[in-house]
Amino acid sequence: MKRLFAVALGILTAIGGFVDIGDLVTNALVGARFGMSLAWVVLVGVVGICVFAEMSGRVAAVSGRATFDLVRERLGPRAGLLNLVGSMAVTFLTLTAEIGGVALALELATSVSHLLWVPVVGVAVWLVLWRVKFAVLENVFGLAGLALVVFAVALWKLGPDWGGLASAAMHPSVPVTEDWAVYAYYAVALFGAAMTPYEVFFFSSGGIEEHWTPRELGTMRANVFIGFPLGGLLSLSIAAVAATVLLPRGIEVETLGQVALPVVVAGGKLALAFALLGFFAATFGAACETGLSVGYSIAQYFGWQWGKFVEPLRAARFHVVVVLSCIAAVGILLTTVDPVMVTEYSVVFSAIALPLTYLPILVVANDRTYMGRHVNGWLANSLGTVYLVLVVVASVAAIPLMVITGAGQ
Amino acid sequence: MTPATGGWEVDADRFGVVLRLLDHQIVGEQGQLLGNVDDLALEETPEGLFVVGFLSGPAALGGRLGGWGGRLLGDAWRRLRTEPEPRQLVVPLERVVRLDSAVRVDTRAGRILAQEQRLELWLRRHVLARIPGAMGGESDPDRPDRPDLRPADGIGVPLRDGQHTVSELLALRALTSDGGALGEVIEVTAERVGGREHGHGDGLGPLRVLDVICSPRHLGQELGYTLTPQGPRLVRWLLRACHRSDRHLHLGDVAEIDWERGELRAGEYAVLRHPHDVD
Repeated sequence: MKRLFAVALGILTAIGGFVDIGDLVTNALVGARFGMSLAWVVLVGVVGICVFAEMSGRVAAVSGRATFDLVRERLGPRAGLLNLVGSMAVTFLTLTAEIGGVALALELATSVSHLLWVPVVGVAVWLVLWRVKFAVLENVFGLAGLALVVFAVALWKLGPDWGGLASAAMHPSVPVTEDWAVYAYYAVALFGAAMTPYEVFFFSSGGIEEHWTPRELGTMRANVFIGFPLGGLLSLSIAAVAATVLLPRGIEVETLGQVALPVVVAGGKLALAFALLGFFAATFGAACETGLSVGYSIAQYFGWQWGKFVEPLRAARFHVVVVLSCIAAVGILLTTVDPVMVTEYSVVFSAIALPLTYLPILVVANDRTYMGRHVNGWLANSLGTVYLVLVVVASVAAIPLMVITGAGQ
Repeated sequence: MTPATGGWEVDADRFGVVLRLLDHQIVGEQGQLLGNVDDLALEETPEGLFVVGFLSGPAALGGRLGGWGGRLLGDAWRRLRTEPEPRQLVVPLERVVRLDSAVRVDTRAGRILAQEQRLELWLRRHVLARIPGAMGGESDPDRPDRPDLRPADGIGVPLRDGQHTVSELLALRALTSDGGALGEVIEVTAERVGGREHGHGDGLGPLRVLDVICSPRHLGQELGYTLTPQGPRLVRWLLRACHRSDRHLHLGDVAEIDWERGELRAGEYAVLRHPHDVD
């Protein structure tokens, strides 16, 4: 019974924790411009993050090594450092976007400018990372993030043309009003939003925080293979409500308020309250995860003590990195840069950075000396190889597409 | 602290030092994370070449990184030390109690390594300890002013002048007996000669260097495909193609190692084969 509860809790937090500011904004934006014609990318991205997270979680449970330990060990100090700089730049950009997202959610709820909220949110994120236990942090925000289910409810209440949505999703094509390059650019962005690298840093390091052993592999797999796809369904419902409400009216998503608009149309004030709670929990939870991920990765590269499983004093350098990244993210947001724009760039740069961490994980998951009988099977290796090619293609295509399309204009 | 599992122990008698030891996490007896193996100390004796200990810290890492960034890191480390002539400490491999995905060291080595982390200790005292809720505080056992933590107890010995490092070995240009280029050394295999199995105490003990692998390319050097091909076909095929000119060279077939000029010359009758073709 207790075990069942643990598995259920893990799955629920995985669903709520799957969606972050990148998924919210990108899915709504794409739904409003392209309808469901890019739904296949979400599907491909969700399978990808499942493959990638399961592998890194398995390596963490069996060998006790998190992602950046492996990067340093298998790429050496020089290539590892370049990798660290690239991956951390992207994760830091994501942290900035998440903190901005929390501030925007608070602005929607209070009508107080998000710029006034940004420092408050920055301090709140740091306080949570400093004082709150890892399990509490993960469960509370994951469960509260389930409020985003309101998007699925809204879709049902809107009573859309289900056949039309499904056929658009099944037969993807570039809408006549859009250029193919713009379509491809948003495909890469959606892929990056679903497969954000920090999710893997956080997932594998979190496994070590929670003292996973090979015995927890079943629970871990249930979280990944049930929780993540359901989280992906939430992403799709965000796109679907946007396709139903915003697309016919020609409204493009430029603010977080517009992401919530279809929910208001469907369910009024109460639905909006749920959506705002969901926004807050999802972005705040993700801000904590990205803040920790920056600290985890830098500490793992250098071999420093890290983690919330020790007293903060014992992991001084780790906590200093976390504090400094919170301060820097707040600083960037206070330049009055638009957090939605930061989000749009962060998901594309995520797609660019993916191969950096993907390859070392794939290689170590095949190392018999480390993994013993938990080494990759043929399925994990086949999918792993397909996704290795996919992430490289998305990574290489991202910059040219960004230039050609003027970042999706 | 977590005594995290470390997967399977590296139990082979002969293994790749770059793959299994270099850049790995060092873990103390209570599961403390104590740094990475940033370099390894080598000693040449009449019996052969031995890996005798490891180095950890900014100076060793700086040396591995190379370039101005690496030099900056090493110089910063030297400037910030209080001794007039700071030397890097070598932790003997006898202090390694287990080698798996991590390099696990005994209590005394763990204490020395913890005490060597000056940035960590400075931040603890001057930054973290002032923030409410940092816990530990005065009862912290890693405090540097505890008298039994002085390096004088002989665990950490400074890198001596006659000793070399694996990073120097890895930078050597390898040449055939008639001067043909073989590239640089990218992997070193070694075997256990001391330690538990050989009745020399509990530690891993020194490792005798057996072979070197030379290659014109460094790409993917530590991925683990240099000695044995494994894993997904695409990666294996790409790395094999990239490393088709790798050559395995038994240390007994090496005519001379010139550390000054950074050259390693194979003997006249040296057998040069691709490492995958060597059993």
